[in-house]
Amino acid sequence: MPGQGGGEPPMSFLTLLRKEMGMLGRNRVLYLFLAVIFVFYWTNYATEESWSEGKAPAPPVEITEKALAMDGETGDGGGSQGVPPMPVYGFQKATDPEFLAERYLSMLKNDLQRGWMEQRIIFGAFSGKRKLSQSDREHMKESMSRLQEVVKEPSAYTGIEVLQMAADLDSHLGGWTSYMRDGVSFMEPIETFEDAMNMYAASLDEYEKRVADNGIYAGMARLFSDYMGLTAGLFPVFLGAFMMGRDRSSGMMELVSSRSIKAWRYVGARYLAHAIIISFLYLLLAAVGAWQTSGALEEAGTFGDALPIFLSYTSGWLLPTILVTLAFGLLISMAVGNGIIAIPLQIVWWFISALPLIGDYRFFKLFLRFNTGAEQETFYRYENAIIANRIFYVLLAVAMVAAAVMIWERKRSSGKGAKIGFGFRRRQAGRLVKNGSEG
Amino acid sequence: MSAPLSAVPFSLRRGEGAAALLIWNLRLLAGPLWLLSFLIVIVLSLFCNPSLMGAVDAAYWGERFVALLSLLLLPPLALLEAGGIGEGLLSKKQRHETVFVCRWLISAAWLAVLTALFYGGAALMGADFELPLIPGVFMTGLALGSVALLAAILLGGLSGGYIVVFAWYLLDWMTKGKWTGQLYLFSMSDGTWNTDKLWLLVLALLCLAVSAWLLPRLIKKRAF
Repeated sequence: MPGQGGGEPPMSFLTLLRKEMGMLGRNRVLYLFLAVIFVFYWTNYATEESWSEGKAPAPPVEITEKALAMDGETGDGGGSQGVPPMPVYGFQKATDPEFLAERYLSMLKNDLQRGWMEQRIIFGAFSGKRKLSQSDREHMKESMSRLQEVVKEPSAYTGIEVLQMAADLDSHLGGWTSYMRDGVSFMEPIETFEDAMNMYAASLDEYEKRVADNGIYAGMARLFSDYMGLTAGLFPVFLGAFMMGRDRSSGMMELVSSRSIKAWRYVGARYLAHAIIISFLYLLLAAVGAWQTSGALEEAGTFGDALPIFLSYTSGWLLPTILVTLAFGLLISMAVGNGIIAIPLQIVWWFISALPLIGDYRFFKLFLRFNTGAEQETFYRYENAIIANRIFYVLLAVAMVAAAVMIWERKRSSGKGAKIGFGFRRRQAGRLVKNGSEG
Repeated sequence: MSAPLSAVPFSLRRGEGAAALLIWNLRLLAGPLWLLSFLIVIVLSLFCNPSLMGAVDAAYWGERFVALLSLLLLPPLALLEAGGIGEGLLSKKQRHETVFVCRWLISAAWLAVLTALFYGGAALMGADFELPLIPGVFMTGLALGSVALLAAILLGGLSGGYIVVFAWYLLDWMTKGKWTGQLYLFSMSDGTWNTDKLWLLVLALLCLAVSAWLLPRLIKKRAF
């Protein structure tokens, strides 16, 4: 019976874990991994654009007609050298029901005219197009008549109601179309100084609420987690998928298979060693993030204030993603005997989770997007869904590791240990040796 | 039914010459990952709805997804000799550099077939594109795969190769080539065809040359 060989007593789980961590600590790939996540941190999070999300908004500067004339611009923002017209005070997200209804009407007319629409495929993972069916056309026409009512009497509707009409149409069309909530962001020009001041007042109000709730660093920690989640949902799979292949490539599989060690202890220790070390790297990066953020946003508090917030967000937001990504790589490599197969599957899962940038936290989302340091109220609205998602992923990781342990044990018991991890079958090895046998 | 032995050239039967080298390595490489890459092309063709595809859409699917198939084909070449058979391989008359280049060429040829299959199928199903997408996507794939291959050789494991190449891929995806300049992967998706793709080809060939030089030396080092 396998697992009965070997005269020495089996190593304790902790000893094995320590050995695995030591071995991983000497692996150059781990340092490459650290370098890569640091590059992503540096190029995506640690930027002026991110810091601006944690700072008080700047008040608009009134631009007089004289100043406009000196700049060669017009009140419509028309540039002098063929530059597209730009409003003087920029743009804001549209909330005017008439404006929104007109934009949706224009989109619907366009889609009906060309006979197809944009519709993302496979849970929104990939962009795509679809021809309109008769039923699609009917739903679109019905929505158009509702939107025309809005244009006729805009005061009877709110912007939110118009967005909901579009969202209803999206569900009739099968979801993931341009009509979904936040499928398209309509921006309207800010034409007057008064409008600019109103927008500034709203932004300042949101910012002050965050300050009053000590929410500046929490917002920045969410933004940090958002960017780093993109890496946590992909890169650990490359370690997870090949972690058991080491035994095969070093010719140790037969020896390991004959030792009296329990499968959960052997596979579990290796998985846990990877999970602990990778989590530690992300927590380290969170500490760097807290340090740099507190340097950029001095008015929000000290490094001591930022650090616990960054660490707790990273633990709750990112670590479940790391655990599952690692476990998925391990499980697939165990199940099919080839770690490479896990990679295309992981890529699909990654794409499914990457969009939208905010507001979708269903259970199939491997990592959670919240691509802003502001919008605290939005976060509170989704908080329960986010927590439920994260708990689900921790449990999923445990289930995946348990399944991987069972498969490992079954393969060991059936004498198919050589198929564990990235291994070639004997026939292929025979071909290799025979290959170029001109010698 | 197999052909009578007399019909097979003597040199081939003895396993000599370029044809034998190609055939043996083709048999070695044409495995489950080749089949998987073929199935992925079929699935992509079904999902991308070619009848509504213009040049930019076609480039998007090619550069972002079809090019990634090279990662199923090229990086595993780094570890074909893993498992302690180095001594046997290095005692052969045929130089291992030649064997390695032969394998790379076979894998590259399969990548070219897959790319042509994807775009050929798309064109048949009504896709409308004029840009020279097939060579562009092929060069993109070749660069991704060859960089992953070299990194896997240097780091002694596939995980290192994949980490390097996906860092490049994601960085380009998120920053639109801000950090990679002429080695930007998705230029055709932006609607432009320029000589940048040739830089990717040069990079792929450079990686091939370094890998072919390095791999036998590393095998020798590990074997003795």
